[in-house]
Amino acid sequence: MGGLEARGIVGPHALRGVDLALRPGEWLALLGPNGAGKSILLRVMAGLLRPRKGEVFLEGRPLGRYGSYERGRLLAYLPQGGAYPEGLLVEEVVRLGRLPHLGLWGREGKEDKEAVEWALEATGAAAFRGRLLGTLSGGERQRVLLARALAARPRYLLLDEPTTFLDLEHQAGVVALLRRLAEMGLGVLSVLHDPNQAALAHRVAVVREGRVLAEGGPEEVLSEPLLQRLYGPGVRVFPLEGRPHVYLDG
Amino acid sequence: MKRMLALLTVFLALALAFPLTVTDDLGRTVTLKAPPKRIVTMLPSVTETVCALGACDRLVATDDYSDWPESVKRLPKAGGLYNPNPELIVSLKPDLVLVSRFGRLYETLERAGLTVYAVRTETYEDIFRTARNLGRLLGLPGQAERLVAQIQKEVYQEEARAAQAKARPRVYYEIDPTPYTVGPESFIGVLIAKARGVNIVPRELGLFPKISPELVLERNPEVIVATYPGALDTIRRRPGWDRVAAVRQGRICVFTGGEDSLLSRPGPRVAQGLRLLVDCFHRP
Amino acid sequence: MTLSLPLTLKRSLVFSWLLLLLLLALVLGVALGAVTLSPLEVVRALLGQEENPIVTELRLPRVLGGLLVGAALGVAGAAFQGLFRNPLADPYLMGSASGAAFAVTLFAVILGGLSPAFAQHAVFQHLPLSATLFGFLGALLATLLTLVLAGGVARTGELVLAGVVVGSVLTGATTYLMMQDADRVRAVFAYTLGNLAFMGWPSVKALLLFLLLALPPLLLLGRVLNALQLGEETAKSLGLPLDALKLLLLLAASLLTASAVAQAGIIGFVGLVAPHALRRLLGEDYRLLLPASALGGAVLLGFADLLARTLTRPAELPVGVVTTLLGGPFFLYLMWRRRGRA
Repeated sequence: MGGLEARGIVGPHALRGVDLALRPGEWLALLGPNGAGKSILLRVMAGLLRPRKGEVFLEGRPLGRYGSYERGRLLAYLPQGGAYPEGLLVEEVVRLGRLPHLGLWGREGKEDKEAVEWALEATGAAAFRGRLLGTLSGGERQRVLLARALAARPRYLLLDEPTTFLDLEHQAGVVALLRRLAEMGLGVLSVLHDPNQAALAHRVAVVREGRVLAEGGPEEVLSEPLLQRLYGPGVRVFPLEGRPHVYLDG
Repeated sequence: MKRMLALLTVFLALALAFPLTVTDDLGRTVTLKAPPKRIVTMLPSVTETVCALGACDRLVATDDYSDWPESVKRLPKAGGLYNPNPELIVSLKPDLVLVSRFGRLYETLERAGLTVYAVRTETYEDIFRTARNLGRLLGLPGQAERLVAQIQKEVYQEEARAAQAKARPRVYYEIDPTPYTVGPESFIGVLIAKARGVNIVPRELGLFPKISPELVLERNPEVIVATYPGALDTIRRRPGWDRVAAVRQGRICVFTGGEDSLLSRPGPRVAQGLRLLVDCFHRP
Repeated sequence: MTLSLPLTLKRSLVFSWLLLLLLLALVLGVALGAVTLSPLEVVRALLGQEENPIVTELRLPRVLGGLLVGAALGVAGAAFQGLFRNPLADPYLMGSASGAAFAVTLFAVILGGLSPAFAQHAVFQHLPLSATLFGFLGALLATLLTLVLAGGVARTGELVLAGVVVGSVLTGATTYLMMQDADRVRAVFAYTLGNLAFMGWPSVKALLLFLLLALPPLLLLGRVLNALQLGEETAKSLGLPLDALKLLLLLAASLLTASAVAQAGIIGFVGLVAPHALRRLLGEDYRLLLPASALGGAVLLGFADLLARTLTRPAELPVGVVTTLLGGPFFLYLMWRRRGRA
């Protein structure tokens, strides 16, 4: 039974009973106000945090039953912001993504090289593959880190605010890429803060105060009443070309 | 009548000697209104000199390291160079405090209104200079001259003994295992020369240089003197030192504790320290 | 696909230079010293044709020992810099220097404080007590204390704080002990400045043993250190058994530091400058940086000790003073470069 499923997650911190399922081949966007627990939920589903109650299932098996490398081959996690090695070459950074396959001392094979190539091309990072990570702009760096996550050829991709440092052009690129990856068969779960980006996902889940408030297609979930409940009266929704557009009414 | 006149002379001499204004070894001006009766000493060699002048009963406290003669061990201890106890000193209401020229103890005591005299006791000549200065301060100039004469006589006796021996052995003197040694112009260096030993350390290196072990191997001393515990084992186990003459012939003298004090305190017992060296260099 | 050619070339150049400088340090170290010897004398002594204990018993083991100590400190420094993701970390971060100094001072107090009769006691005769052993144990125990205080390797921030606490407390205790006996002060103080004066063949063998024990695991964990630079969460998500690996890294690096400190006292800057400088030339790939830091540390200490032995001969400067004199200007240069860029 495919999918990454969280059942009855309580704690740590904000989460107060969450059920969420990510199916392969779909892009699920997580929205919600700050402190709602989106990042924590993501980490619980990545197996990095243990909930006080409830469990996460990966393809029908409890997540804790997987060996750490096995899990790493299926699930890739990309945190928000965070540390990055300035002095490593872009190519070397992306290659680190193959660790779940290579282990500590494995030698690189054809498959590894191909995976790295694919990740570099898919994110457009191939253009600066020979440069040091520290010399790139924020947006370029984010694409490299995304390529690192893709290099493992995971089945599920969990991303925390993947568009934060990007300018509009690159935001559009990442969003298009996430959709493409989902259509290729990956399950993509991304925490987003921009409802307009979430509108492009296949499904949206809204988290508030540690619970899932609503879940479904973007047209259902991104309704004006719901968004105003979340963010206040200044938020308006305007349907355009079959998709909801969120804007602020000053 | 004549006796009365004599007594009057002595009394006048003493009376005219005080109030006394002198310059101490830091260049400070020190004034004493009368011969001091309550004295605190913060240097072991100064304690010994004061007692050798016959004024032991005037001591009210010493530093932690003063341990000769036996009687001073019972006196209250006022700390050492790094951790003096000015409050204790002040509480004893001394009329003279003798301190080292290192450290700022004299400032604290001056502010408390005490009379402080800084003493330099580092070289061989300091022994006699200090004896005479202290003699003046204590109102015992005659005693001081007698003490100087006695010390010099004892020293000459030891020097004569050394001169009788035919050898002039090469000596390496180690004061700690880093290794630190003594230069010829230091107090111990002078004693080594008086004991008719030849210090392998050249003058240019200063008073207490840290030297390279290569120097010792090159100069090949015939006698080694060390003044820290465990020295015998430490020196014998050193790489390459089994070739050194002194190690091969087992001529390593180790002086610790009381014997070390004799060699490191420029004071009235200097001749005893010299005797240790003479015995060590010219064993029969 | 491959690295850009200039970069590979640059990296090969760096390693070649390091090996060359290492050789130079070895040769000059044996040829020069407090006593002037002709090159012929030196060569004859090395070949065994002439007996010259200055060369074979003093200089050769001292130079080799110095290179090994430098290598240990360099690698440990690089490992700590990677582990703590702090390019200013040094091998003494976990309190090992303070632990060693405290233990050595304690040893001096015991030695000076016990009466000879007691010291001759059977127990003491059979125990191979020595300042070196005390220093080694002190360094290791301080590191373990830091680990316990931080509650394990999990939280890096806690480790750093715990190291500061342990270091400060032990330094205070050491100073207190030193005050109790003014004579000991000088000897212990000299230890804290580093001292290679009596490095003999037994010391060289001991150092070699520890390097062979702890260096291979460290070098093999280069990839782990690279992954750690992505952040601990990412590293964990890649499947690494992070806590176990961090512990292994920490223990190996601490073992190297402890053995270095035990033989040579506390020598500063080597474990900080070598990896830091090489980072600018080689980047942050720890698979390269770790072995390079070993070579770099050896070269740095080798030349520092050479200067310490020859600048004021036949007197010697404490080697820790020389490394400081070399390290200080290096950081000034770094600051100047940064200002230039800004």
